[in-house]
Amino acid sequence: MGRASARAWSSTPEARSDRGRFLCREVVAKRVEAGVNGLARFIAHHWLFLTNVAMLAFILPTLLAPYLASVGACWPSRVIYFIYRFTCHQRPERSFFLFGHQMALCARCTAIYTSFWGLGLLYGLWRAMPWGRRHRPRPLPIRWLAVLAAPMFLDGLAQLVGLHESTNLWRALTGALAGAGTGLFVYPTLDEGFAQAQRDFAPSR
Amino acid sequence: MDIGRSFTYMFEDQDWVKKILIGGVVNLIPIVNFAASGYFIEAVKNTAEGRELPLPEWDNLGGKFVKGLIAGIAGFIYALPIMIVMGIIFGLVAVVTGAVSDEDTAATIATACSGIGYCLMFVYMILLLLIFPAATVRYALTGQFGAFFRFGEIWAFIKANIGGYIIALLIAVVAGLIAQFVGGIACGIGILFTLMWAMLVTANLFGNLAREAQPATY
Repeated sequence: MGRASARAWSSTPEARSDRGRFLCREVVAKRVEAGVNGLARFIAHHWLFLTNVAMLAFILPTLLAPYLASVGACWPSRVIYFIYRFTCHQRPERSFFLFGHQMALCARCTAIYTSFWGLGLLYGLWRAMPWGRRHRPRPLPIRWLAVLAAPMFLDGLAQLVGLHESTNLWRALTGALAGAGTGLFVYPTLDEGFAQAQRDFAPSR
Repeated sequence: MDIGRSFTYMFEDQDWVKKILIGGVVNLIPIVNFAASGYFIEAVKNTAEGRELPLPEWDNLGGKFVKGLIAGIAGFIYALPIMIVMGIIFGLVAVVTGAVSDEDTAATIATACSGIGYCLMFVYMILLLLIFPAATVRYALTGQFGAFFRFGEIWAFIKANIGGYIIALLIAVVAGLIAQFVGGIACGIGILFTLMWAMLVTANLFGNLAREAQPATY
C-alpha cells in the first residue's frame, strides 16, 4: 500500500497511469465495502422482518400446492410437493386437506411452522409498542422449551410404539405448542444478539 | 466492525493474484485440495490474531494438507450420526418392504420412512451449517482436534455473538453466490479461483468475529 501511494503521486506518465488505476481500485473497493457494510446493517436492523418474510415464504407454498392441484396446475403443485418431501413425510392420513387436496406439510409440521411464524409476528407487534421497546422479553429457559415440546414427542412416541393413534387435532395442538416454545426461545435470543450486532456494525464516526 | 473489508482486503496483498491462482489449482486436484482447507484455517487463525495481511503463503503444503485433512475428518464425524440413522432407516425399509407381500403397503412404508429420514436430515444439516463454522474457528485458534467437539465452548461462542455470527454466515453465502456467478461467467473454470476468493472472505469474516468476540467465549 505504501509503495503504491508513493508511486501514485509521482509525475511521470507511468506513475500517472498507476495513480489512475490505484484510485479506481480504491473507489471500487470503498463502494464494495460500503455495500457489504450496508447489507450487514440492514440484516442487523431488519432481522425480524426478514425472518417473518422467510417463514411466510416457506409456509405459503404448502397452501399453494393443494390450490394449484385443485385448479388443474398439476406440474407446479407436484414440484412443491416434491420439494417439501425433504422436510416432511407428507402422509395423507396425518395431513390437513385444502381444496380437496392434502397440504404439502403434515398437520404437525404445519402447526410447528405456523405457530413459530405467528409468534414472530406477535414479537414484531410487541417490539413496535412503546412498552415493548423498553422491555425486551427474556429468552425462554431451555427446560421450559423442553416442557413445551414434550407433549409432541410423547404423542409421536406413543403413536410409534402403537400405544395410541393420534388425531390431526392432537398433532396440530402439540406441534403448535412446540413451535411456540421454540419461538419464545429463538426470537428473544436473536433480538439480544442482533441488538449487539447493530452496535458492532454501526458506522464509525 | 468493518465487515465490508472482508470482500477487498486480500487485494492489498502484493501477491494476491499468485496466491489465489495457486489456491484455485490446489482446489482442482482431488485429495490435494485438503491443503486448500488448511490454507483457509491458517487464514482464519491469522485474522483472529490480527494478522489478516499478508495472506498466508503457499509454503509448507504438508502442514496445510494435515490441517485440512483433520477438518475433513471432523466434518465426517459430524455427519456420521445422520449417516448411521439414514442407513438404519433405509435398511429397515428394505427389510420390511421385502417381507410385505402387498405392493401398496410396501410403497406406503417406504414413502413414510424415507420422509422421516429426509426430515431428520434436513434438521441435522441446518444444525451442522450453524455449528460447524464455529467449530472450525475454534480448531483454527487452538490447533486441537478436540476443539471440534467441545460443544459447550462452541455453543457459548455462537450464543454470545449470535447476531454477528448469523450475519457472517449470510454474508459468506452471498460471497459464495457472487463467486459462483462471476466464476460461471468466466467459462466455468473461473469458479475455482473465485471460490478461493470466497474462501478468503469467509475466513476473514469468521476470523474477525473470533477477534471481536467477548474474551469469555474465546
